[in-house]
Amino acid sequence: MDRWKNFKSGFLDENPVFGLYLGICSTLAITTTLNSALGMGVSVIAVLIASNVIISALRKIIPDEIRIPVYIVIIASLVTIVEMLIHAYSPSLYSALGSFINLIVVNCIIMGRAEAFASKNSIIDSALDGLGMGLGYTLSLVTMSLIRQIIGTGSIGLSNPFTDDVIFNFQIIPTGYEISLFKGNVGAFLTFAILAASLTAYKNSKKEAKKK
Amino acid sequence: MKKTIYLAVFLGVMSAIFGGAIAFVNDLTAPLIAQQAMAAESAVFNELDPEATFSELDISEDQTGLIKKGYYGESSSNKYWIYSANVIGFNSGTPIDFLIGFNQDGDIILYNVINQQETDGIGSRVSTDEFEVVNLNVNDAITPLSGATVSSNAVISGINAAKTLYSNQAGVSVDTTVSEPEKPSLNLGDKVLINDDYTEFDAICEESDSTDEGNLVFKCNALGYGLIDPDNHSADMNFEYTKNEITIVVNPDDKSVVSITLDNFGDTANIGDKATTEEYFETFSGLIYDDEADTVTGASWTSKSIVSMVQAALAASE
Repeated sequence: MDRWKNFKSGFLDENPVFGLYLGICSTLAITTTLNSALGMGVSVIAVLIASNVIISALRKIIPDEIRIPVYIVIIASLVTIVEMLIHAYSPSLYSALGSFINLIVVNCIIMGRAEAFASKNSIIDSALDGLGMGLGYTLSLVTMSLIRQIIGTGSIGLSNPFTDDVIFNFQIIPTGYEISLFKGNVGAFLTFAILAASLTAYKNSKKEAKKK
Repeated sequence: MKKTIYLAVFLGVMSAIFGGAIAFVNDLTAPLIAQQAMAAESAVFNELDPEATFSELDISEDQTGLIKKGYYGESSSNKYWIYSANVIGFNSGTPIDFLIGFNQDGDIILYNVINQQETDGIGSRVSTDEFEVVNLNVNDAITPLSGATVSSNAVISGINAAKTLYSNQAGVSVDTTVSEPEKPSLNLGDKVLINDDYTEFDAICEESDSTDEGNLVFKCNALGYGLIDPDNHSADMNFEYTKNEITIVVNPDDKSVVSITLDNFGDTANIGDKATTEEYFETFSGLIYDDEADTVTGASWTSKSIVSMVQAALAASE
């Protein structure tokens, strides 16, 4: 098992959002601001790593017949814990993410990696897989939110989720020239389609280069 | 059988272990979350009247279970009764927490949503100024938000519970009879030209007996949402669509609409029937063939079905 190759596969080749088309629902909804995207990304990383580690640690004792219900219990519990922690330590992020925190439970990435990887590999490999996939998911969210926020509002900003202090805030497109379409659903789908197509084109070009 | 029992026990043990983990984290975070709620409430009280001092009220009289806390505040010129309510809206997983406050005159002087996780842009509107609560009197009815009736009616039930407590504690007379929430007022959308092309609605009008005043009476029918392109419009629904039918009275002198009454509604219940109310029909009074007519938001197909019949009647009266 090439750990490095497996770790970085989540960034581009097996990017969960634009490559495997998992977790699209929250991707489209959350990526209106950079803060929300980062917050959701970090939450998913935490849940992915924890669920992968626990499931990998218990893989030899979980009966095969009830493995899916057991995974659901583990993932749902972790998401509930993450939700309570966000509510307690970052109320502004809790308000911004809203009901999408609970939807992490049904995010296909988490159940998918539990079934496809964590249940068959060691704890360290599973943790690295969770981190790689989580970072790939976060990278996807951040990329989409950057595009949508800059084009849709003209500015890009980031604030501390624990203190609400502004870290940076830049006006990039002059007021009046932004395309507000990108703040809404249509813009989300457009941005997603462009990024997914770009990744596919990149992967195809790599394949052709290999053939030559 | 032994295997099944083993699987059930295993699943039960896993659930118990992780349930315990959730309970542990809840014990750690619940005080912090409660502190945040108190801080938010204190900020609201300070903004309401920085001079007032507040103390807790006994809320044991609340029968509904919706009121979580009560506060009494007093300054040199005003008295306040403020209640913290917790209601379940559309998102049953997270309740709507809000503060509702009354003064000594029975006026609602405070409405502040502390926490809600309702659908963004829909139920979340209960936390915006669009939901008109402040400055109403305690005996005024509160109108639910159109398109967010579940969330707003939940909040209204919490406000009604607060009104009952306020009535007992402040000695202000409040009508606490449970009444149906007022229906939302007509939500008009884009205007359309009466003389536009409505061929697809296939409106037919036949002249009937004229009225005593000499006005022309037309019995009209037209296709609606379900009958136009039925494969795409009604394939996934179980409604039995029929034609919409109305009676239109036209003034023969100025060729204007006098009145419209509904004879048959054939479109989707609870959606298209928003465009068959007396209130909507009244918007057609006095309109002529070249005028613009209103449509109803969320019922545009039925609205246009009505407009097509108005067009046919006005054309027939020429």
